[in-house]
Amino acid sequence: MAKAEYSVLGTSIPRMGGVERVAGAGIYGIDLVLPDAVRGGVLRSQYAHATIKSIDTSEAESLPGVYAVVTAEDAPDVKYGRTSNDRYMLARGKVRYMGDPVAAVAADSEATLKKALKKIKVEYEPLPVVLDAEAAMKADAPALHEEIPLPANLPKDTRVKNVCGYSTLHVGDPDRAMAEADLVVEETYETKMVHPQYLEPRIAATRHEADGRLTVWVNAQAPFGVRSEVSKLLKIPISGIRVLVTEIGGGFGGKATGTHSSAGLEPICALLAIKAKKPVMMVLDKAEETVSTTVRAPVKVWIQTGVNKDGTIVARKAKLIFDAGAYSGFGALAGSRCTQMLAGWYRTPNAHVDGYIVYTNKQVCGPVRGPGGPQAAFPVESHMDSIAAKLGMDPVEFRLKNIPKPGERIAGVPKLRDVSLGETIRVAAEKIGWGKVKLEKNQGVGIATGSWIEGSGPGGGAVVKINEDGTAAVLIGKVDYGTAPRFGIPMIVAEELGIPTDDVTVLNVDTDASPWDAGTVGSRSTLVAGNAARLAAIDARNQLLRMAAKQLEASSDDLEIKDRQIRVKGTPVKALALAAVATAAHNEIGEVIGRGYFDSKAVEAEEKEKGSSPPFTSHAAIVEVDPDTGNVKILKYVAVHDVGFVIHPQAVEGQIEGATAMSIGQALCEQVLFDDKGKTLNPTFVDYLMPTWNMIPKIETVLIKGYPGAGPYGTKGAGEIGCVPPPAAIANAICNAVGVRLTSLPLSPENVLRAIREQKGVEP
Amino acid sequence: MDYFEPKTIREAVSLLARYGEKAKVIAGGTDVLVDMKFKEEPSCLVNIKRIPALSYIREDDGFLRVGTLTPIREIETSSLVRQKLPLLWEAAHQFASLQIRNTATIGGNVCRASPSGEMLAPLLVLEASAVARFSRGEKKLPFGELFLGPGQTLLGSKGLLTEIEIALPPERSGSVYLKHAVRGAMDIAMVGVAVLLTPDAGGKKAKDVRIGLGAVAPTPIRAKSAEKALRGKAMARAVVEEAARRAAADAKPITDHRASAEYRRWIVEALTRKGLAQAWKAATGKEVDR
Ligand SMILES: Cc1cc2nc3c(=O)[nH]c(=O)nc-3n(C[C@H](O)[C@H](O)[C@H](O)COP(=O)(O)OP(=O)(O)OC[C@H]3O[C@@H](n4cnc5c(N)ncnc54)[C@H](O)[C@@H]3O)c2cc1C
Repeated sequence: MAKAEYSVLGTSIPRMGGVERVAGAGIYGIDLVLPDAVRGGVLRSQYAHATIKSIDTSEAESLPGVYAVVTAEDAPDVKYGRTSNDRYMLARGKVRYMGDPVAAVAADSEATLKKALKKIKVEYEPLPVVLDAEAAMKADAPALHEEIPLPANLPKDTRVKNVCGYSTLHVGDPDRAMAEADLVVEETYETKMVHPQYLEPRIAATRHEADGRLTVWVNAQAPFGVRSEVSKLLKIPISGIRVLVTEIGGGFGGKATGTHSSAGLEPICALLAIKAKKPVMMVLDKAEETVSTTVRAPVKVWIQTGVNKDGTIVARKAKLIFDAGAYSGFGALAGSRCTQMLAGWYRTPNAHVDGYIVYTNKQVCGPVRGPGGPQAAFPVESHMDSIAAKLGMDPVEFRLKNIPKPGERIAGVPKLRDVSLGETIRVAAEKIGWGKVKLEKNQGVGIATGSWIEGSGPGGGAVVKINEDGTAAVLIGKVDYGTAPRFGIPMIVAEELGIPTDDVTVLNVDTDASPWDAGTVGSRSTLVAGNAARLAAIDARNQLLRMAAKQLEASSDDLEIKDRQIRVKGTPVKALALAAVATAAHNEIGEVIGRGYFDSKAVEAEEKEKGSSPPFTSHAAIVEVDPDTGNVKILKYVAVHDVGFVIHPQAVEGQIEGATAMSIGQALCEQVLFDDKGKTLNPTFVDYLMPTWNMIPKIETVLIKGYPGAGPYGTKGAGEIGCVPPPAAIANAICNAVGVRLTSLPLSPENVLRAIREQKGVEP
Repeated sequence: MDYFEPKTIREAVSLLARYGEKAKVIAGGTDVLVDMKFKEEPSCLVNIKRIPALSYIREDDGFLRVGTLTPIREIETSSLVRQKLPLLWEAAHQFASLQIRNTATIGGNVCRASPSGEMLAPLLVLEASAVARFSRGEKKLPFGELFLGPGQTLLGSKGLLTEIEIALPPERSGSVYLKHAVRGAMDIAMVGVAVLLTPDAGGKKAKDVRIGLGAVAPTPIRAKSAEKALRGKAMARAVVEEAARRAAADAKPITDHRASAEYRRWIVEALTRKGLAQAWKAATGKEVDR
């Protein structure tokens, strides 16, 4: 289909900049060399909860080679936050988790820096620590943020503590429907904290320029967010700050929300540079990264579903306790998404869900790839299998029975346009050999589905400039970390301008030059920047055609650009070189500059009327469980996705495989562990177990077609949804293999074996 | 920090005598460099990699001698080891990653004395000896006595390991090394079990059984009561299961962030059962009797 209609779209061009990466060229944040720069580092709290009595920096300051020491005293008394301003860049009076920044140093070397950090004397008065979100809600729990009021939307009689966000969903009459249901199934589930563990260390570098402006280098997904937060926290006008993005070696949402993600690293770096009167470069090491930066939040879920004997879902009730960590961060937003998803993506006429987003003395929640998604899908999709088992129904059949129809609603989507969920289930079942594959002892098959929002959020712009040789330079606000800027964007611009993709350059973000953008998050790169770049390219094309029309004595409507030529459609001999027209433009309209804007509001309005078509997915797995050790081996894995139109098949498959592998890590082994004082026990890669390649199966990805989305040419977001089904798909396969339902992640050997033994103990 | 590259064993030993507790020997550095980054820098580093002729694998009249600087990868690829000491080969093969195996030395693994050290339980059941040099001369330290606790050996701060001496086990013996870790490869053992089993002439009974356990006590240990339960017995399923239970009781594991003590015991039991069956099969070609 793509081949006939388009010249570039639908092919898998080599990733722009791919060779440099594979060859190890020094292009990442840590490779940055600023002349005369000194090293910056952060002193972090040694208590998970304490008041700061005093900080004495005098000894550190007097060390030779130390250029600056900063504490909260050096910064304006300003807090930051997304849903609630509850956080200082450097702790003021109180610390709330062991990664909380307390002071920072700029020094001439790593060694001096370490020494100086040790010489800062902080007197703490320890406070009681609360690490469990459910316990934090109770009356006797220590208060983490006395000054922050409870959410205004909390129901009147709720008696809770430390709640920083509340989200709820109500449809129909769930009480009545539940009472009338033939069967009610009720379960509880739990997921644990995981860290996104991108390999590339996070950096921040700042130079106070001669003209008084600040230049800040970051490897962040949301450079404009960094700019506005640095501006706010240091009381420097936006115009006084320029943020430049380096190449990014992985972020997975962990580098996504302004300075939240880094626990204030960028403003701290700026503060140091101003005080030290020297450029300052900061690099976090892995252990520091794990204890201080944003994570995927742990959750506890109670879920109840009423069904009729024939397998029709009639009601869903659920309660979510979402552990935001020490500050609200992205918690309320991810927690709210999680709340919505607990109502499921099947037809559910009656539902009620309460989501409490709660402070604890731990790392802060960030928008980690599919924020809230896996935490909701693990309970929802495990629960679907439990219900099917109670009904004596096949899990695939049970799911198919409850597929919503076009025009109906699911949580978070008021009106569906077309629904690919059923097709993804059928294809996944077929590819895994559902009901057909012969399973040996201790082997099992499982399926789980998922959906994801295309994401609401601000729009974004793009600029396409045509150089005098007919090549194009593209400015967008999205950064590249394996996403659209070096795959889809150049392809879209090339397609619309009739030039080869090699003729298109996409610039990395410079907040002085690039269009503003909310950040490379929410599976929105192609949706926002892709739509905008397409419109900008069309705008540029129209300008070029108008100029050529005069010379070719034709109407611009009859012209096209092909092979770097502007020509009359159907009469290829009447043609002008694109370069000649672009050069001539200098004396007519100036440089040809196309402008485009993705109008998020307009799309929302249209979807409200006509409905929307969210991406759906089904994953299926065959696993083998070792009954002696509890080890789970994935033997076969199928990921079926509807991502709408596919611009670059390999890139989309890469996103899906990457997201699936990341989520398999959370399913099988990943977890940030704490002692009872709130100290992270496994901050480095020796102890924080990411899956190695031998744990990841070959992921067979199938992209189904025919359900266009809101992106350019009908694409849908593809970066996050692959994270949604894996934990449930694997848990369901384990249950099928050995008959135990695991309700807590990770599905680690110890947890699996414990469950098997407990079950054996019960059965005589 | 003082840094030395002695060219002879004697020079190295005299540096250790001079600096005592302050000195740190560095061989492959895969443990030492990590410690230097995350813990303290020693005030004196003695790099023994420049001492010639300490990397070798030699057969010598019923013994296999392995020089302290022999990389794990050399052990893994040595046909001599594969043939005569399959147990050691197996442990080397499951050790870390190729990159680490190329760098890490057997001597470093022994001297690090980590309870989970891959080579330790196998060397323990092989009843190997550590040949060490002190300023007063050479000592031969049996593995059964070598380990005092995590990171602590009879070498103290002044001894330099030079060689591992391993008596070759009887031709008809069978052995196996089983490692359990969450990730399998590239992960620290939660439990390691080494089994060396020699059948009697009739191939019915276990004449000699040695079971070594890693990562379940402050040092690698022998599962003595399990060994006793099997010695001289016909290898039947019930006997093996009883021995496995005893091995679990012999273990003294702790609960930490990798696993609970209880889980480690379950694994000791499972791996001992499996290890005994596999070693028996390797020795006799037969399954354990039902
Ligand atoms: C990524 C990674 C994965 C790993 N995986 C494993 C694994 O799977 N299994 C495992 O067992 N280990 C593993 N290790 C630990 C380590 O690689 C081994 O313990 C290795 O054998 C140490 O050898 P080395 O030569 O590097 O020792 P070094 O680091 O040089 O020294 C280790 C210790 O021994 C002392 N020492 C060394 N040689 C002598 C000598 N001749 N005389 C006296 N003292 C001496 C040193 O002072 C130091 O205390 C891993 C390490 C890393 C970094």
